[in-house]
Amino acid sequence: MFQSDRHLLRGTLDLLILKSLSWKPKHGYAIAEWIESATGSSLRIMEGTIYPALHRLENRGCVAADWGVSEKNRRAKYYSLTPRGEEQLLEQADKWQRYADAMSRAMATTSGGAE
Amino acid sequence: MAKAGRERRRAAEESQVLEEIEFHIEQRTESLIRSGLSPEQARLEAERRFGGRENIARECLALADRLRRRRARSEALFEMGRDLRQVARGLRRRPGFTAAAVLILALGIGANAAMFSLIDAVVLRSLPHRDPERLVALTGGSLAELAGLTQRARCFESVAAFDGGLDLTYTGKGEPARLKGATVSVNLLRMLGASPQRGSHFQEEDARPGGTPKVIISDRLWRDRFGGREEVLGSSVALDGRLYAVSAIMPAEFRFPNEATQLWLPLVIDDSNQGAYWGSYFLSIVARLAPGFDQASATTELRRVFEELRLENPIWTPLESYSLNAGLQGLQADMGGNLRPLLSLLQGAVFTVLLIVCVNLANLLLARSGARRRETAIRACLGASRSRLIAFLLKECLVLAALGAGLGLLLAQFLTDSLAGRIPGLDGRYGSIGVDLRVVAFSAAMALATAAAFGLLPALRLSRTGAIAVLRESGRSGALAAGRRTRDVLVVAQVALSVVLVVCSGMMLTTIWQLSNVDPGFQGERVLSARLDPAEAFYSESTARIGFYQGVLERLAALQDVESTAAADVLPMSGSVLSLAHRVRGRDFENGILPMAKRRLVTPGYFKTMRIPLLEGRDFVAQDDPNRRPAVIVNRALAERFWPGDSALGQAVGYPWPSDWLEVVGVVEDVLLGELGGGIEPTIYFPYAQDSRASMTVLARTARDPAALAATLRALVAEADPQVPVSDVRTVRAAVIDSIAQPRLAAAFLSSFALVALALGGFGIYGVIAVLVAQRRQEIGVRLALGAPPARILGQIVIQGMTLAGLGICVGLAGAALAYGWIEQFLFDVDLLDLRIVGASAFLLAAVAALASYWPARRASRLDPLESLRAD
Repeated sequence: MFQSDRHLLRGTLDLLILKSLSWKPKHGYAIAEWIESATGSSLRIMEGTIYPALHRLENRGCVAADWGVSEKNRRAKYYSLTPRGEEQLLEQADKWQRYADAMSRAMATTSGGAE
Repeated sequence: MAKAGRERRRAAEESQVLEEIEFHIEQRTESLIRSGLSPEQARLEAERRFGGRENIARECLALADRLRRRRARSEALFEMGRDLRQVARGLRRRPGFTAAAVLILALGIGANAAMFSLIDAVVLRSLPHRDPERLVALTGGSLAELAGLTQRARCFESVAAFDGGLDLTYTGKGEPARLKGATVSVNLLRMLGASPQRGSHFQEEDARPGGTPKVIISDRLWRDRFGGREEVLGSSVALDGRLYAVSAIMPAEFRFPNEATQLWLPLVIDDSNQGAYWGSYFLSIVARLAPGFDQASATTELRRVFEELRLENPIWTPLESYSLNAGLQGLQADMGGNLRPLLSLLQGAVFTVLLIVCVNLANLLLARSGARRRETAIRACLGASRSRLIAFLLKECLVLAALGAGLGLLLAQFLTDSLAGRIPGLDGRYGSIGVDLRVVAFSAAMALATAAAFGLLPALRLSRTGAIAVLRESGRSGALAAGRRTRDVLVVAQVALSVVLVVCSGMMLTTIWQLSNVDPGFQGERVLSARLDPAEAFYSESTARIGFYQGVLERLAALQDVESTAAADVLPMSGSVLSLAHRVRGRDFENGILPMAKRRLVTPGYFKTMRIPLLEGRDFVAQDDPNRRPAVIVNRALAERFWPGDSALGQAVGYPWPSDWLEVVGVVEDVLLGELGGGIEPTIYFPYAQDSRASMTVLARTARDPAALAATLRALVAEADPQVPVSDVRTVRAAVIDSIAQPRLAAAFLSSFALVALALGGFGIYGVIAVLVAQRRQEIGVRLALGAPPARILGQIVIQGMTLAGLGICVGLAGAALAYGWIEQFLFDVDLLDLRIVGASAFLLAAVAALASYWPARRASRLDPLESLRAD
């Protein structure tokens, strides 16, 4: 990953978290696992950074947190998407898509433009 | 408590964050073990992948903290908003109560804010000078004293003097104008810490006689009269016919000694006339304390210098009290001095009004608490805590107070606008008077305090009642008994406070009545007066002055309806009259202390025009001019003091310095000179032709309305000399009435406050009796049904109201006796035990109380028994 673009990374992480929650509420570890498998392990992040990101999203009203019981019968904090979070997800995903398209189109171009 | 709660919540959050992190790492470890790592390796790898645990935990906690705080804030806001909406709904549902409460509050807060604005300007705000607390005003006022203090008093960094009573005629472009100015020591402006915006201060040599005359002008004069042009600096202006070089322009904010001052002339120290140098007291002396001296130590030093001056006085030797009484006080206290008592009296009055307002509102709220009790009880049952209930009830009071304060500020602005110009002595020296930030802050504090004052008692009372008990009560009958005693006490307090105000205003009104009925010794109703100020320079010759006035008076006398005319230097009671020591022929005085006498200049016909009886001898005649022997007329008081038991005719008095004897040719009846209610002073009248001056007041006694003559008089003076300004055209009676403007103002204020208090007092009694009647509806219904005569029921209820009023009146009269000590200084010839005032006040209150209890009582006596029994 591009170490220099932290802002992009943070936005990316937020977006990934929102996406991971779009099926059902998850706890932090499950979110990390989802990101790992969904990105084919190509997006390596410090797993701990998920938690501040979750808190930020909670402060912005995008996710809600609640204590629940995990698959293995342990107490865990579950995060779910709020209506606002869903909105954000749609909006950000769309933006990201257009950005990625533009970037890949640009990278695929072979012509150097008019001289 | 709140802090401990916060700590607890924080600790819980921390353990949750740590738990969450631990859960994550454990899950990862397990997953890694499943993929083949040893437990130790797995744990290490899990922790490595997670990253810095502490940092992440800290970051999460900080974020959680922020969230919690935001939630608490929005919750409080939400609660506030909800309460306010509820309060607003409640108030809208009772528009009558709301309007009454807001109006009453606006009255109380507005009057207080207006008074605060005045007091702030006069007393609280410091003078706009450098280190104003080091400036002091001294006793004394002669040039000799100024010079002595300047040279010898080590306790002062600098000493300066001024004479604020300068009146000059400006002639130049446009109409001649009277300009107000001050003569000031050349170092005065610098001592105050003021610098000219343009030009330079006076120089030392400006204080010496014979230099080029200089003038410093105010910013306003510069802009108004000279169009703010730079060239004015250094140019010459004609004042009283003499040319002065404009040496500086002061900044707009400099006002000394008062706002009206438009120009400053240097004080010339001239000791060539030793009599005037030592004996003419026309200066106000101010000084700046030297470092290391305070007012007490400076006073000691001051007395030492005065003692030296007393012994050195070459003209006469003053009494020892001359130096013993020498003293000083802070300049600010000195300047606001004569207004302070009036302001504190008015402040006391408005504060009393505010107290009445609070008591009244507390009563209103208590009256409503009957209906509120059920509502409050239901809230309590639904889980509202007691503090929550009190907070809600107080919020209602706060909303009322805030509305009242807002409206009150408008009222204050109106009051200060209309008042500031009418309080005698309150000129702009104190800076702006009106609603500013300080007044707004004061009113806000006032609103808070009043809300607490009138809201707390009902709120506490209401929140204390047992909820279940209230809900079990049938209807309202039992509920109303609760606040009864408190309400009675409040009504008594209200009536008592009203009585104090009514008695005080009665005393003040009596004072005005007494003062305006004081016989000043002359009759001024039909005498028109006008002040003429011919420029000294054009009338420096006495023959010119005498000729001018002779011409004016002759024209005036020729008018129809004019019975007689005269001129005098000043009108009685409207200007200071010079006092001078006099020798008396054939008499020596102990220690050479010459008796003082007031000195007046009048033309022939003055006594006739003013209807002052001539007791002996003759009036002045036109022939009493410089060619004839000097003649004077004395008043009865002087004749009796100088020549007791002897005729004054043929006796003679003289100036304190060697000069011709002045022969007494007549004795006239005493008249008041200083103020209505003041004493009679020995007075000597000099014939104008033998001792003339430029500025005089002309008088004309008319057969009909003197006011009709005013325009003719102006035209006639303009005909004689268009350069002479005419001012203060009014009847002599009006001038006399103007002299009691301060007590009149105090009386006007107090009586309007007393009226408000009366109205509020009546309102309070009405409220109590109305509730009483509502509460006893059933009982009254039963009695009426059993055949009790309505008149008896009416009587019983009225007596209840009158009992409260009676108690209040007694307490109030005791209070008035206390207040008497305070307002005594404003009273003239009014006794504390003046039964007319006390009786009238008590009667007035009783009448209001009777009326206020009659209405509800009448309603009670006309109840339909059947209906009232069915009511609950």
